[in-house]
Amino acid sequence: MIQVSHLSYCIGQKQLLADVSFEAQAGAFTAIVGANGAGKSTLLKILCRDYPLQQGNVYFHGKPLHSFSNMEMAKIRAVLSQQQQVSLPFVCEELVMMGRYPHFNGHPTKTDHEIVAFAMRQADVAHLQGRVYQTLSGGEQQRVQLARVLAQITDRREIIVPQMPIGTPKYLFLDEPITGLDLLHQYHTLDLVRQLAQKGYCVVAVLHDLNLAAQYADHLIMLKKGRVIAAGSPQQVMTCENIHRVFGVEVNLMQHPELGCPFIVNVRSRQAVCHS
Amino acid sequence: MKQLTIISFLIALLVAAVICSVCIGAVPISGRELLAIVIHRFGGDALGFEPQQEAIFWIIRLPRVLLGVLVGASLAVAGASMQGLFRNPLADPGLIGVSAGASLFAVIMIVLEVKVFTALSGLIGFYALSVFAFAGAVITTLIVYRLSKTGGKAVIATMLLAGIAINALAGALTGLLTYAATDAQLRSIVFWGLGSLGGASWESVAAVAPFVLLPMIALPRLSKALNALALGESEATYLGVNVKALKRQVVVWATMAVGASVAVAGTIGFIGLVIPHLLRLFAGADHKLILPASALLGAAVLTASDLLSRTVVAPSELPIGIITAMLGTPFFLWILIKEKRRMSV
Repeated sequence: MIQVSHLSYCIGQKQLLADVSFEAQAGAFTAIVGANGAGKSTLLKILCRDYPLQQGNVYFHGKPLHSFSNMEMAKIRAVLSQQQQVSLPFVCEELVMMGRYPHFNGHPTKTDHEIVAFAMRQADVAHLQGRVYQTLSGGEQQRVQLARVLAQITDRREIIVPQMPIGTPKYLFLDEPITGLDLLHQYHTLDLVRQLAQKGYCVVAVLHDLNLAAQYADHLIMLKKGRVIAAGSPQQVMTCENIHRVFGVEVNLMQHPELGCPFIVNVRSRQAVCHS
Repeated sequence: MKQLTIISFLIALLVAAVICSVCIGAVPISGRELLAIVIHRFGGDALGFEPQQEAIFWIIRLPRVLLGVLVGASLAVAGASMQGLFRNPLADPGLIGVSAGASLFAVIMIVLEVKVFTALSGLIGFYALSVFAFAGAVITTLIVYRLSKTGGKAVIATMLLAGIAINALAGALTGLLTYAATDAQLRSIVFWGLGSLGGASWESVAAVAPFVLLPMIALPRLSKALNALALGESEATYLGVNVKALKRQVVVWATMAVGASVAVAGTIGFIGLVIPHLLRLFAGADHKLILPASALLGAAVLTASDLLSRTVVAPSELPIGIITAMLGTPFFLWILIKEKRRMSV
């Protein structure tokens, strides 16, 4: 579980986050949503320790964020970033194996190889294993990075019994994981992430697509100008008022026919009638 | 296994280059004579070779070849690790001012003939120039490293820019001194600036060996971290790498290796740039393979270049830097064009 309390962050005079507090439960998929420049990525970067903790507190499973060593963190927490340039011509399998680096010294063990193969199947990139990363399309590159991230925090038990709940806390952070993916792989990735959450992972993702966020996430945090406007279940957060307040857009809300979650239908006339 | 094949091939190549290099020259030594000379050394009979050949082999050729091996290996390994650190396949140890600093200090020494240094020369013989050049390499790199630090972190892009600036400054100062030099000094500056293994002796081999061998052991230990760094600094940190320490270590070891090499052999271009690049075309990007493979290929290529440098215009010698640049440039351009084609497909 991640507890964030009274988090504020400034760069120069600009306040990027102001008094942000929330909890992200283990076993839940928490999505951070908001307009461009709302502070979503900043928040994620603080959780990833890319940015220092200026004000406020962050606890991972009751322990202060900065009490972990880099290596301790690397074994339980993986991050899928937006920017995914690789400077040297690595083959995909080598790249996914980097996810195992925190777990072995010298040479990878048989288990590491098994986990890499498993993660590549999970991310649907097993067929790309011998390809040079730079020669892949953007979406393929993103899935290879996803495989690397999965390999980092998957352990052997999970390969044997994929559905079994995990014993120790594990954290997965994703910054816009589905931007640039085709429809099939958007669903595939979110399904995968959701399954991980159901197994007990604490998943926090920045998502742009509100409909997909509502369908897949258990918990939404809506940010505007660095402040939390709403937090809770998709039903609680996705209201016409909140969406208008945060995105400045009038929308119609419907109910998803199967999942029952709110579903946005845009209003072309800009004279929305709120049905929620 | 691919890795094993590549390494064995490179070892064979290096051995071949070394054997050719010790055998070919003004006084040729045949394979059988070489064997006889070596056997004699280990207590065998002095049969099947001329005494002159033995002297040339032990006193002139072997130290020179060994120096070539050490210098070639260190330039290539430093180049490969710098490319990893800068996340840029075109980086070179010269970029952070190692070579320029060493050159500047050597030229200061040659031109000004400062009294202190001539006194020093008495003490440590002709090493004064090497020691001073090494100091120059270390000082320049330190300045560049310091300049690139913002908020306790060395910023790679700034390091690159600071390196370019310091290189330009050192180049200008070197130019100024060259302008003031006498004809005799000028000749020595030019020869030094283009590199030569002509000064090789067992003493210089012994002096440079520790500075080359230590980085050669230390840098491959950073392979995993350098691989992770290819993903980006943040990503490497997420994978548990201490990026700050990594940068410091790579800069220290690479400067040590290149500084020592430049100090004994002058500035030799293109080995650090071309060798790792060439290897990546065949062997991929994994530093665990690229670093040792670069050492072997760098050593082999420099040994072969030195052989050329002292035989093409025999009995005179060409500076080795001319050979490496003349062979390296067309090759490098070929790589660039090939890459451009591949990327545009």
